[in-house]
Amino acid sequence: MKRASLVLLTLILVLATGLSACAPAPATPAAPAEEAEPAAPAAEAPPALDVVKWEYPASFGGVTINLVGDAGHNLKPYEFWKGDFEKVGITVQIIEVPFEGVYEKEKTEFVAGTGAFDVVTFYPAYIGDFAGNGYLEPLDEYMAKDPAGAWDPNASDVLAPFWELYCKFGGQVYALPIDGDVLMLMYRKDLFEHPDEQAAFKEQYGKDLAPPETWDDWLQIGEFFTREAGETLAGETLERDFYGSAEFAKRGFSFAWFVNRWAAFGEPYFDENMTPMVNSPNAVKALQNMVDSLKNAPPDVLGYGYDELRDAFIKSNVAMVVQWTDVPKKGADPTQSEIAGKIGVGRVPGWEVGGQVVHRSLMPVGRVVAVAADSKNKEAAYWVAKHVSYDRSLEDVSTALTGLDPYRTTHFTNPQAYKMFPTAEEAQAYLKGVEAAMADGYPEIFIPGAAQFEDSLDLHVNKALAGQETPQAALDAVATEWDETTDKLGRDAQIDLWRKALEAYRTLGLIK
Amino acid sequence: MSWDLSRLEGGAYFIGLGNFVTLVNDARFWNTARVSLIFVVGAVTLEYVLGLGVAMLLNQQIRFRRFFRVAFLLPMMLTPAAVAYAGRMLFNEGMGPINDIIRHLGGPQIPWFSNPTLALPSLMLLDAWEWTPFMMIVLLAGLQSLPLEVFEAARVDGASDWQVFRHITFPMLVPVSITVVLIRALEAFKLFDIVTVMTGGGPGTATEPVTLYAYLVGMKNGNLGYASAIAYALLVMVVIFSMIFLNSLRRRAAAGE
Repeated sequence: MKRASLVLLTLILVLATGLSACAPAPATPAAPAEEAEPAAPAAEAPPALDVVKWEYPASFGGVTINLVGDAGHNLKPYEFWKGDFEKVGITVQIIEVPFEGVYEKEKTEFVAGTGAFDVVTFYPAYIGDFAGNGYLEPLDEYMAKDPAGAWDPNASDVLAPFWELYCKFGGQVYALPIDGDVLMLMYRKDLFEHPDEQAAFKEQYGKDLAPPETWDDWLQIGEFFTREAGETLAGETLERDFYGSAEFAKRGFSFAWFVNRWAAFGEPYFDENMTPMVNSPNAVKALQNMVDSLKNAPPDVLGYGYDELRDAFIKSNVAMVVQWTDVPKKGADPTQSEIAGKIGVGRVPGWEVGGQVVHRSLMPVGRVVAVAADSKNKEAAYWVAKHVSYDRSLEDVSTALTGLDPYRTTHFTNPQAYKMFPTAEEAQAYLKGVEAAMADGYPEIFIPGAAQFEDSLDLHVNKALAGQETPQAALDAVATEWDETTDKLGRDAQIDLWRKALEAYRTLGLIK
Repeated sequence: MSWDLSRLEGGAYFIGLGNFVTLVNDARFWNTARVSLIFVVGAVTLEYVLGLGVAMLLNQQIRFRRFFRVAFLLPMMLTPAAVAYAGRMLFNEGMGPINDIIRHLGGPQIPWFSNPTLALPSLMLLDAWEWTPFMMIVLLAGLQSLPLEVFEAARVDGASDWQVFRHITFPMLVPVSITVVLIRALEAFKLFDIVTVMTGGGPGTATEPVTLYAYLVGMKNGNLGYASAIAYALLVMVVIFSMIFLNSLRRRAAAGE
C-alpha cells in the first residue's frame, strides 16, 4: 500500500515536471535588427514601414512614463518601439492589468489621486466617465504644437466613429485611438465550398449552403456542421467532435454577442427619456437565439472568452464564429493557426426587418490611449500616445503579434503591410471584410455609467446562457438595474447626455 | 454612509442603515453567501482529508522522505493568481493536458469550469492543489509530536492500523486539526484571485463569492458604501461560522467523543 502510494505520488511529480517542461513550437526567429534611423525595433517586432511620415520631437531629458493597459499582446507596441522612446529620452514603464479589470484599476487610482499613471490605455466606453470626472488631460493643445510631424496625430486620417466617439467628450479631445474594434463573421471557407457539404445541406434544408445571412441561418448552419468524432466532414473522418458555431459566453463581454443580435432590430439601448428598451420582445428573441445557439457549440463554451473562442476557430474545432477583426490575421499565420488560407469573412448575421435583412456588428472594447490629468510629464506622455496612435500604428495593426485592429484610412490603403496573408488579394479581401463590418458598426453605451450598464447586462445575459434565468427574466432584471443606475447617476443629467450620444450615433450613421 | 464613486459629482451622503436593508433584500448577495459557504466547507474538507493522508504517508520511514516533503510544499509557495493561470492552462477543456489525458484514457471531456454545477467543485480542486500542502505540513508536525509509547502499547495489544488511526492518532490530532481547519476556513472565505482569473464568477453567478461581489460593487460600480456593507456581512458570516465550528467541537469534547 505504502509502496503503491509512493509510486503514485512520484508519477504525479514526474507528470507535473513534464508538463512544466512543455512549450509551444518556437516561432521563426526574427531577423536581427539592423542599425537604422529611426531607432531599431525590439527583437520581436514587426518591421518598420516607411508609409507614415513623422519626426522625433526634442529630447524630454530622461523621464519615466508609467503606462497602464490590459495585459497581453495589445501592450506589445510599447515594447516594439522602445528604441524610439529611448531616443527622445523616455523610458516607458508598463503596468499590466487583467483584460476585465481595466476600469476598476484605473478608476481606483484616479479617484485616490495617486498619480500612479502618466498614460492610460482603456476601452473608449469609459471616456464619458474618465473625461467627465476630470481624470484626463485635454489633448487639443498638444496636438497643435509645432512641428506638426512630431505632434499632430493626423485626426483626419482616423475613421469618423473612432475619432468622434472614442476620443472626444464634450467637444474636446481626451484620447487617441490605438485599436478600432468591431465584430465580424468568420467561417471555414473550405467547408462551405466543399461539394459534399453543399449537396448534403441542400438535401437536408432544401437551399444552398452559404455563410449565414440571418441569425436563424446561424442556428441552422450551426446544427448542420455539428458532428461527432467518427463522422465525416468535408470528405474526412473526424478524430474529435466538431461544432457548428461558438460564442463568447464567459462573463466579461458576453453581452456583446447578445447586442449583435438585438441591435439589428433598430432599438437603441434606451429611448429618448432613458427608459431601457432592453427587455423588448425583440431583445428577448435575440437572447433566446443566443441561448439556442449553445447547443451547436463545444460543451465548454460557457468558459469561452476571447482566447478560447479564437483558439476554437483557428485550431479547427468550429465552423464559424463572430469575433474581433484581428482573428483572421492570426488565423492566416500558420505558426498560430491550423486553418491558414481557409478563412472566409463576412457580415455579422442579422434579422429580416421590413422585408430586408438588417445587419449590425457591435464595436465592443476598442482601445484608446490618454494622458492622466495628474501626470507630471504630460508632454512626454502625450508623445508616447501619439507615437503609438499614429506614427507606428500601421505596423501595430498589420502584425499578427498584436490584437489591434485598423482604425485609420492608412490602415486600409496599405494591404501590402499585412504580410501574414500569402497574397495581396487575400489581404485586400480581409480589409474589405473589416470595412463591411464597420459599415454595420453599432456603438457601445458612451455615457457615464457605461461600465455599470454593461456589467449588469453581461451578468444577466450570462445567467440566461447558464440556464439560471429565462431570457425574459434576465432582460427584465437588466431593465430594472439600468433604471436604478440612471437614478443613482442623476436621471436628468443622464437623459441630457444620452440624447447627445444618440445624436452623435445618428450623425455618424451608427444608428439608422 | 454611502460613498458613491460612480456619481459625476462624487462625494458621500448619509443613508443610515439603508445599505444593510438593501443587503437583506439582495438575492445576488444571498447567492454569493451560499457560494462562499459551500466553497469553504468543500475545499477545506478536501484539503484536510488529502493533507492528513499525505502527512501520514510522509510520517513513515520511506525513502526520499525529505525530498517529497519539500516537493509537496511547492504549490503553496505560488501566488493564488499564478496558481489560477496555471490552472487555466491545465484545466482548459478543449486543449488542456488534464482533459487530454482523460480523453486518452477513454474518459469524457470534462467541462471543469463551464458547467454551472461542476464549476464550484473544480475551483475547490484548484484551491486544494495550492493549500493541501499547508494542511500537510502542519498535520505532519502534529503527527511527529505524538508520543510513540501509546502507539507501541496499541501494537502490543494487537490493534489494527485502522484501530490505531481511529482511536489514537486522530483523537490526538484533534487540537492541531481544529487550528489548521479554522485557519484555512478563514482564508477560504477570502477566495478571490482564483475565481477572478478562472471564471469571473460565472457561469452566471455559479461561482461568485461574497468577496468578488463586494469588489464588483465597490470597484466597478463605485458604490463603496454598499461594498462595505457586504464586507461587514462577510465578517459576520465568518464569525458565525467560527463560533458554530468551535462550539460543536467543544460539545463533542464535553461529551467525551
